[in-house]
Amino acid sequence: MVQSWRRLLAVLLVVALAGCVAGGYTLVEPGRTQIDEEFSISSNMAWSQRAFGERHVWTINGAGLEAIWFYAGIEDGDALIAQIDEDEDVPRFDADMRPNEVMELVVDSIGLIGAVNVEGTGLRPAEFGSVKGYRFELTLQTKEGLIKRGLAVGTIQEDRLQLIVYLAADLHYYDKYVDEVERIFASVEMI
Amino acid sequence: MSRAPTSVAACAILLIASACASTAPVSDIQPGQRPALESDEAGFWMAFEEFEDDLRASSLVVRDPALNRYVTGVVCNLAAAYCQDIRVYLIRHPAFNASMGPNGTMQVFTGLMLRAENEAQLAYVLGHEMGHYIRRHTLTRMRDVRNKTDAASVFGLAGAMVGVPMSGAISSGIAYASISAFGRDQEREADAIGFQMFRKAGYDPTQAARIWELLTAEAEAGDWPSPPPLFASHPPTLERRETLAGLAEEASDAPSSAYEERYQNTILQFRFDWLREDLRTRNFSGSEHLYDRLVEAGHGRGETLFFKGEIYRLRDDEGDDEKAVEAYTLAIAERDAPPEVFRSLAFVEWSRGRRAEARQAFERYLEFAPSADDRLMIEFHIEELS
Repeated sequence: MVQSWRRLLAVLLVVALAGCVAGGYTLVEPGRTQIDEEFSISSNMAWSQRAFGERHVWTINGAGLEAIWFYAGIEDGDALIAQIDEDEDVPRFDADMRPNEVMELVVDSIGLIGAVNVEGTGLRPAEFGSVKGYRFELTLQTKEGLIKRGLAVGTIQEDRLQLIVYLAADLHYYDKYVDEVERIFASVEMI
Repeated sequence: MSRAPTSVAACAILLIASACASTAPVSDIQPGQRPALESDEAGFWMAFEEFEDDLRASSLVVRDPALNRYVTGVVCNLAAAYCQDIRVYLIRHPAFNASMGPNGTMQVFTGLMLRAENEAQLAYVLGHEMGHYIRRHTLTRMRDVRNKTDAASVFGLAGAMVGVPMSGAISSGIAYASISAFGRDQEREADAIGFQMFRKAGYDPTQAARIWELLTAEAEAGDWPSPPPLFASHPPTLERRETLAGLAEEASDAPSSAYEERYQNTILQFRFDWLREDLRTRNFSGSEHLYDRLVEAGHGRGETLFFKGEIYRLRDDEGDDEKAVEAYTLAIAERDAPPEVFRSLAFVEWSRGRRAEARQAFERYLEFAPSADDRLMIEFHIEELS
């Protein structure tokens, strides 16, 4: 069962990078929303949301254009993406990871699901709600050549990773929602 | 999504063409030759041309003009008459692989270029791929598949040819290469043709067997049970190495060169990225074997030793911290070690509880990379360690 939802998540991530996402979304009204039992965030806008275990994706125009990925309470040994090919291992979260290693986890995971030229930059301390965390920027290209940019904030609390990743097409979409994403990042409250 | 209708059309043409295809032996393709419009071969070409359109726009393709000129130059040096018919695409992918489409689309993976020790080894592999092109092996292969399987299988192959995404595959290049699984006799033919061109161009004949020795050793050392893509349908490695070594012995009188310096100087500026992509495969044992070989060869020792240390830092098995520190220390002694070696050393020292050494390494990182984009984070760590 765990394998099957991981596979589904990986397929979604691949499809999202390729530019289209299937149905199964529900509406998230503006206001405060709880992400599992881990943290809550607030948004002024309505989003379409879909959940896969501890992973949630929010989008407005489609995850291939812009998406906020919430990873809530990722535990030691868990991966951000599914292992589809049994010959290839995937990066896994380790509760002892330092911020640079969390950034590497994100960068390497995105690189394994079809993106190229993935770079994580600007790693620096930041608040995640009321606790110490960090943030960094992302750049990548889909294999079809679409340039994407991103932002991520995260922290490790009680050996669990809390992570929010925003990824959007550099052309138009990134700038269109980045202010709202910053508001969402600033609104995090740990549960 | 706009690709779908044209891809389907290509597949349909392929299916129609397949209904009247011949099983007769095919002659070699001549320089400048294109298939007759009404032939099944024209259908195959059309499907590959669509794939090539996608490839041309793909971010997987390495665009550097000098590197492209260099590899294309090797192809033209091997077979000047076919120079205009072959279009080289350098694919940013860590696997050791190269492939050849029936229409002259040649893909050369950066993983091959990272592993080749010299131009002769690269030239041998490219010559082998050109052997497939000249003998029109893809046409034979597609006709063979069509005759042995049902239409759905042919349709599936056509889908793979035009780059329909395969789950888990990093690139459409993998899908493309997967249908180029030639038979062993075809591989032997391509070896023979490739060797002939390679020898005529003045390359050191011993390098053909050498590249296979290197790959065999790396595959045996690796963590993954599957062979590298280029091994998939090839003759048994021992047979191939013996054949190529025999050919080299027969050709040993003529003057030749491996062009090692020229090759290494050309790829020098790309090695860091290629090593990083290799590391991301997490085939740690295979990478360890490869990096040891590259360090021994003496090209880019500092950066290779840095990546060797990264293997241990990421793998984090028992004793890996010590191995990482050893590799980083050796890297620092070289002139070409990247500043990141100090940052990685700091993290490993920190995890070993050596806080003073960690702090010192962080400070050296900032000294060598004062504009580092993670400077604020590193300063925060230095504060934590104080």
